[in-house]
Amino acid sequence: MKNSVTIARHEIQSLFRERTFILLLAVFAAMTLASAYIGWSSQHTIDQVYIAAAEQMRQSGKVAPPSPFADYPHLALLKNMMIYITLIGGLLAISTGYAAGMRERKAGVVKLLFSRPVGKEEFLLGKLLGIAFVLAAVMFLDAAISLVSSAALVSLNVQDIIRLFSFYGFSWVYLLGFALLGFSSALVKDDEVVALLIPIIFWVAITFVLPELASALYPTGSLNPTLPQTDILQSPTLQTIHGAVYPFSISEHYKETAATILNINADAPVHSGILNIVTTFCWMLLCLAGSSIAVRSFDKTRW
Amino acid sequence: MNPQFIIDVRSLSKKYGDHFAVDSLNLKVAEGEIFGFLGHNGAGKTTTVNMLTTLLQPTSGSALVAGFDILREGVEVRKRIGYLPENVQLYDSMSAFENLEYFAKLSGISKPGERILQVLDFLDAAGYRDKKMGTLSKGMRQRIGIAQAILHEPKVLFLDEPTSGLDPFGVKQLRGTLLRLNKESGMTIFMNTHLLSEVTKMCSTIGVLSHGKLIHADSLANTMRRFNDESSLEQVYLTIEEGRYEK
Ligand SMILES: Nc1ncnc2c1ncn2[C@@H]1O[C@H](COP(=O)(O)OP(=O)(O)O)[C@@H](O)[C@H]1O
Ligand SMILES: [Mg+2]
Repeated sequence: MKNSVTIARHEIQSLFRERTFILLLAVFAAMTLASAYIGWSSQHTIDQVYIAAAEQMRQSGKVAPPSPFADYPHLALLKNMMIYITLIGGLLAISTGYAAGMRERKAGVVKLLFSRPVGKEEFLLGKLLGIAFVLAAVMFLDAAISLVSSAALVSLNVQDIIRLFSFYGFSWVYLLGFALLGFSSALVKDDEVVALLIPIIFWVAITFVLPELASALYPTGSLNPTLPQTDILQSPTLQTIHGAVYPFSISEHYKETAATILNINADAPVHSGILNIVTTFCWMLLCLAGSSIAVRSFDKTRW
Repeated sequence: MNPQFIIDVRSLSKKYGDHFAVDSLNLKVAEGEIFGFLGHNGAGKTTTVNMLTTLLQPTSGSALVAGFDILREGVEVRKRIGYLPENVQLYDSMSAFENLEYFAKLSGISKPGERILQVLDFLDAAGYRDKKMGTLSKGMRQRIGIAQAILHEPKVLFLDEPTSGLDPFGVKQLRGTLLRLNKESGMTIFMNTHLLSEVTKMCSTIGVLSHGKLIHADSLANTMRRFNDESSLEQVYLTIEEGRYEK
């Protein structure tokens, strides 16, 4: 355990010295900031239109109806965040895990490290702790940015704040899967490019391909936070494809749960909320099992 | 175990496909020796050290290192050995001190600061403590590598081709360091090399490995006596090797 903590600290320290990581982090933070503003700005425009219309009605002697947008959920202005997390967050997570898996190989210290009284289990635990901590720190930073920027634009209550932090906590689980995938791939694949390509292919499939198929070619399936509420699945063929692919469409399960947590789902979710949550956790645990197998089969004398 | 042998190898073999990289190796090294493990490229020296440092699982046979079984007591073995792989590398983006601190902690030293300075002093490398590893010369990296290997005062130090890539000055310096280390702390040194000259200059015992098999093992003094002088020893070494190659 002591060794694992040493390895984790080393991993964290090394990651924050890496240019790629810092760059992705900066882009992510900037998008988080922008997300709140974009959300606020579109809401503000709508409000302005209502105010102008209400004013006109009053001048012509009519009574203006109350604003239909008044009870708009406070955190709706973070709607874009769940998209950014599946996009740039996924890449950031892959890059974090990949760097952790490649580190000893690239530095040429694999044999040296394992000639120390360090077990493979300790190595695995240390790397997991390091990766999990870094992602948690990124999510916390994001949550702080979202909190401050949202609070500056709308008034948040305690429940909103709890929802906001829960959203980032849930996003952490989702992203951890990608990080562990990058980590495992870097351990087992000889070719460094192939090792990076594999988690990227998974990311593309999960973020873009599966949602397209699962939403039965709903045009904005991959970018829309939630499934279409109207029933566009008229064709039986499309419905069959949807039924078959949807359970595995991890990013949609993530987005639906995230929308529920942020309280921006207009209606009840189309699918079971339990299924959404279970699938997201299963995804992360499956990637964790993959990491454990990757470390166990890792050849200490190869690099 | 006979306590006077700090390394006791018993019928140790490693097979890759149908090829024996190490073939039923039996070898004993007494505590305090500087053992030179000599052999042509591909003889199986690195494979042997990989197994003795518990990095590689043998196909059959076993060995005791510092009194512990390499198969069943790997962690205990690793606590008591230092290891310098061929062409040693450390984390390039970290300083020498940070690297040493990391490996010291993994070797079980919880507050290694003072010990690191002491070892760097011993190796005449104190001025390099805050230099990034990536900026150091091959010779200086080697010294930091040795610092890493001796920080935790191991009983046995394994070195794999430690002079490869060093200039003559670096080789001489390394030789001096190893002799001092052996003399002052009684550390047993197990050194792989394909250069006979290195062995004759500093080792107390030598073993010759050829195609995975040990073909000679004796003290340097006995070996020299048997073959009269260094050039005839070299002649014998080459003759044996050539004989093997033709077979
Ligand atoms: N991972 C491996 N897979 C297959 N063959 C190997 C492997 N490692 C070493 N060998 C073979 O084992 C033999 C001994 O290699 P090695 O121990 O590196 O020799 P040395 O260190 O004496 O030069 C060589 O023939 C080498 O090709
Ligand atoms: Mg070798």
